[in-house]
Amino acid sequence: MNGPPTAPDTRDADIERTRLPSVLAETWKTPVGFWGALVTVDHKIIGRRYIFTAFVFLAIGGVLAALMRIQLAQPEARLFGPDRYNQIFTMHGANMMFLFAVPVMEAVAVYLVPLMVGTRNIAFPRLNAFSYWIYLAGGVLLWTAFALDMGPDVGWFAYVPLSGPQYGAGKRADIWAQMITFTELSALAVAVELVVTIFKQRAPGMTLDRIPVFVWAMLVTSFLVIMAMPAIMIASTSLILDRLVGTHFFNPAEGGDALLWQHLFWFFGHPEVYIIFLPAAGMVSTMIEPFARRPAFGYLGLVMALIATGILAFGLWVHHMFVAGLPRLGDSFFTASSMAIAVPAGIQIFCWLATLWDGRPVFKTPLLFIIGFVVTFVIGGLTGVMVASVPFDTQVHDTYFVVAHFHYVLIGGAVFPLLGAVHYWFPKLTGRMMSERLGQWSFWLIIVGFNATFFPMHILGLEGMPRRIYTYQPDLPWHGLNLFISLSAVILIAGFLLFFINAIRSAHFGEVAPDNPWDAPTLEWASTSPPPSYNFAMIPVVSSLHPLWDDRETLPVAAGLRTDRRELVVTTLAGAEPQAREASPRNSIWPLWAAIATTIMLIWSIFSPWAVIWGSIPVAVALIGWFWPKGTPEDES
Amino acid sequence: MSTSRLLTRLSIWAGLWFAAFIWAVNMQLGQILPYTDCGSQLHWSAITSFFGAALAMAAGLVSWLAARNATRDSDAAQGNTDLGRTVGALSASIFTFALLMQGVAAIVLTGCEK
Repeated sequence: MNGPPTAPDTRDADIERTRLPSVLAETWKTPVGFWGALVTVDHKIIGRRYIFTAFVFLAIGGVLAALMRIQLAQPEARLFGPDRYNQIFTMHGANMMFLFAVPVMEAVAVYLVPLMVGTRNIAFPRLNAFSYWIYLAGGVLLWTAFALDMGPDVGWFAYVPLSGPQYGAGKRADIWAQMITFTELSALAVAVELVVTIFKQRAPGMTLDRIPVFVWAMLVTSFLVIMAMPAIMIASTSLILDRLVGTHFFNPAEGGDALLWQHLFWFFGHPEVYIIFLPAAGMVSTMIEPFARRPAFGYLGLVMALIATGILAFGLWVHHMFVAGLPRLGDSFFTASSMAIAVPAGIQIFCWLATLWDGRPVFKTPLLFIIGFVVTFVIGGLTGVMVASVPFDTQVHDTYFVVAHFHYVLIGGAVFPLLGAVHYWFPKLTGRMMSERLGQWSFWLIIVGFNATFFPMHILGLEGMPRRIYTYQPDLPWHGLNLFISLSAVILIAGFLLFFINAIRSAHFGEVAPDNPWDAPTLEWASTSPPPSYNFAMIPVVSSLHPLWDDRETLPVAAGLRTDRRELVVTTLAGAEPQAREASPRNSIWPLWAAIATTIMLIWSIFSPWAVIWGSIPVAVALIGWFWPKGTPEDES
Repeated sequence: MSTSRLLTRLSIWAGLWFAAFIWAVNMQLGQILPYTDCGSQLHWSAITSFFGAALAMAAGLVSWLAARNATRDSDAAQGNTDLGRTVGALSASIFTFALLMQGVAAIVLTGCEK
């Protein structure tokens, strides 16, 4: 490792402004090449890597969706048998929820939140590196198992007793359960990093009412992750114990409870929807400002809506269990909460509409995706209110109506804003603009293809077509609509293909982007595009919610950080007053070793309970190496 | 942080944390009380829901009023107080709404329906 580029305890104010970037670049650099890729703890490199990996999982999950549509286009199709079809729809759901939707939202936050709050790296950067490797390992485990015909076949929620030892032969359900452990471990790590970054590393002056809405959204989401994910980790671990060592957590014959699984799963599963939606809502509130050319209407209302939604999200889980035989009065409490959550969602929608109404909208691709999101999400929200009603839900439970509903909510409510966000923040990540013409084409193909694909599923559901069937008889009245849906899916796929082509092409040949191409007001645009390794040469000082609009000419900055070691400003929680200088860890190979050791232990533990004992030794060794002093200036902190 | 300052901050945010707490407690009661309601003439679920709604509304009011009396020695403190007051009062309204709907549901149903 190179020594410090300047004398010990040299402060940024002691160095000429023109020389400061090169000094900081040396201190914060990631080595080039393969070794650098393995040891980096730069949140931007890890965030980009996370986003790229999540989009790869989106693409291959989309291929599975296309295969299902080919199978269902005709009655009695024989492209797949029931066993492979069970694996395909399980893989599609598990992949999209656990390997794409949640990780991609956290990935965007890993990249953006430190920039938006004006700090130099995320809190616990080595944990951040570890979380990516663990996420990657979970994804590789799931897809390798699928390639080996060991893919889970129990649905994305793996209900017992189907996934239990009695009916779930082989290791398929174990693969699902352990993939959960990988992805939730990764998600929890990122959530902790984000909470600490947002609470303690905000730029001086960024009080609670000056935090960008996307950052608020990620704060609420991170708390949701921290409170919801342990439930599913307990559930999946208990399932593995039932299957491997003969415990009876979910076996009613021995005093266990099959419904316990559903409670544990959905206590996580319903907040999961908001773990996906709230970041998207935060993206929309942030992106809408430069395109409406005015501040978002109702900042306090938007923040309140995010927090209230986050809390209410924990009181909805039983609406997934309305046909499980619980007392109707108890169900009705969940109906009430499910309908009440429409209020904060509605507040956000009206705030966005008011922003556009009172603004001077510029209809670039990100804004098109925002409008597509509002329309689609409202439709999904309305069918959500419908299925929150017990009598209606009882009729359409496990039909294509529900499939239509949750695709409207998840694709409309999360993927559309995400695609808009990719177009919006692409110049920040790559230094190049995405093609506007291809972006608009992909938007129209996706919005038309999506609605033509998923709206008819409502009708199919009302006609009684159940979910998860691998084929159907020709005398049932579903053939025409299924063929129409499958043909419409071609338009949707074409839209996504165009999006991917646009992204790949623009990354190499796109127009070079200025630092702030959209004239946006938030701090990430105060840095260069793409930002240097240290994010900001001097830490910005914030005096308003829109620092780049209100301090357009010269953004005030704080001085006094050391340049010979990686250092951050720690600020108070509410007032964001400078409190301390804190070191930020350097690059390290140990997060990768810890991830490899954890991966071996977790996969081995599918086959033998002794893996937990013997496997924990290399994990402990890796952690000791991780925390052992390295003789760097950061150790003094 | 002094006790009075801590109490002021808790009061400003009461509409958020206390109303949410009441709602969470009532969600749990909603799973427990149907069995009592079924064998009783009194709608305990409705009583607790409406009582909870009144408490949640009061918490929202506390948020609104406490912010008036809070010291605002700087722009930063004023901004945070305004945020707490608005978020507290508005979210208390939402939890009150949810609790009222739960109360209405508890009047309509007897607790015996499966």
